[in-house]
Amino acid sequence: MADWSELPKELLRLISELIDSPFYLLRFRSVCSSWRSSSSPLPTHLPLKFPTFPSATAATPSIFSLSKRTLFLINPPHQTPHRSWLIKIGQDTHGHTLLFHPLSRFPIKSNSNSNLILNLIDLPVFDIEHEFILADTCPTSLNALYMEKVVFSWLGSRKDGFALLTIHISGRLALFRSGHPDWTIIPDMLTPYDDVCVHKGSLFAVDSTGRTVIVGLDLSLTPVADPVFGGDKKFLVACEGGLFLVDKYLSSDYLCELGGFDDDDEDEIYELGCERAVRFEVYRLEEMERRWVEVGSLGDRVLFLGDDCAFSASASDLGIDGGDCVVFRDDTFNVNALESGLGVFHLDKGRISPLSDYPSISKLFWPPPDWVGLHGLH
Amino acid sequence: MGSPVKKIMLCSSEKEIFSVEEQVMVQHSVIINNMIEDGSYNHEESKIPLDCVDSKTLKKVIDYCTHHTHHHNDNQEDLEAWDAQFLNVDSNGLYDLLMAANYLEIRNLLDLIYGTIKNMIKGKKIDEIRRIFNIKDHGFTPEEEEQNRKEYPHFY
Repeated sequence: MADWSELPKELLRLISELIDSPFYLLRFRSVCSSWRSSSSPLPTHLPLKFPTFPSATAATPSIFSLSKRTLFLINPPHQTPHRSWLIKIGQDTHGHTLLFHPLSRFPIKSNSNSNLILNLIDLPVFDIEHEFILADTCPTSLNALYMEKVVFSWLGSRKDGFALLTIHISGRLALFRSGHPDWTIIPDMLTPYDDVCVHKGSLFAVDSTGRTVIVGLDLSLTPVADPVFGGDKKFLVACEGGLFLVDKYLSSDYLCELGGFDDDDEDEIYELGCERAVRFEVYRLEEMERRWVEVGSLGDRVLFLGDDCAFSASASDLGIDGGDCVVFRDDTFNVNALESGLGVFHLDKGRISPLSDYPSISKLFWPPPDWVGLHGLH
Repeated sequence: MGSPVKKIMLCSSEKEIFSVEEQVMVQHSVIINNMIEDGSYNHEESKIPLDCVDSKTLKKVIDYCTHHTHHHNDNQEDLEAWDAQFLNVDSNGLYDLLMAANYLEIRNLLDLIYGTIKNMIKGKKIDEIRRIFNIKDHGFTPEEEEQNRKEYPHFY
């Protein structure tokens, strides 16, 4: 039997360089000393401070701080019928660990009396997705309202630098390239952009019609798919099977169904609550044909649409029966009730149900499974 | 047109001779392409000795190159399905294929194998990875093990 610790170092180095997940690289490096000595750790120190967008009216210079959160699927330590746990982990500015509901941008309030330690070294872990957050360090700045999704990509090899892509308040794309002092707002725009993502190392952006481009570092926008029109909000989801577009249709009839809210909140609920998802369409990118093709089934796949990232996992990895659905968040307003506003669109059934109708998916989120031992966080 | 397909001879570590279309190997293997281009391969007499590639592995490598030469116009899904079936081998077979693809510099096969190795690490515990890759001795000192433990994300 071949012992893979004896693989030539050069090959081990090449393999390690292709591992783009910091967690899997950590795994690779803890397998044996020859794998470890043949690989280098990922640069842990990303630049954390960025300029804010160019603005003619900025009174005080301000900066963006970049933080990263990782979505992990954590399985129980032993092969048991226990359920898996889908959790987003990040850090606050003091380096303390924060836990997030996978589809939310707001941390779960923890009970600091919990003295349990969970170390991912001993657990089967899938590194599902990374999300990046830009926050203005000056709370009174207009940019403090800035809440768009940001994506990060290394350029070719990690030595070549990186790029950040997001959507500017004008609906245009904003690109930051390492080595450049400022963001570039790309003037080219037919209709405002809806979403950005990284797929196969390239930066993708979709506008509100579904027209999709690859964003080049030379600021070029190369069309990769024509519009699909249709719905109201487009999401890009990259996964092993390819690049998916989810088109969300909104209805404005929500207010009629809503009752018993506080007077104080009335206006806000009106504005946000009126955007209720009523239907989804899912498309897959046919790269050769340069178009989105609607899919009737996602097979084993589940797509998740969160506030700051969209991701995908297979039902078999998640340990649930059957995928073929989109789990989405409808209501970014109600930040405290974790499960509120979460819905599931099942492609085969063609309809939306509350998350509570899918207990196996609902149990992936919160509270943590018993085997995690984080009872203090309930 | 009509002229016989040019063949080259490859010789495995067991001295078994494989006759392959020259174009198939030239397209995929940087090493063989170089040998044909610089004239170091003589079609009348030469065979290319591959002392570190056994017959079983060489046959698979030739299968891979032949399929990808003749089916490169197939749709992506069919090719991916074929590749997945092709690499449905145990870790021993994968090791031999990796060494052979590396020796012959078959870049697309190397990329395919690297991708498979990445997938074999996903979602596994360290002891599972060691078992899959038949790593008998991790060779870490207790200090290195401790260092490892510290590098992992953990929360209190």
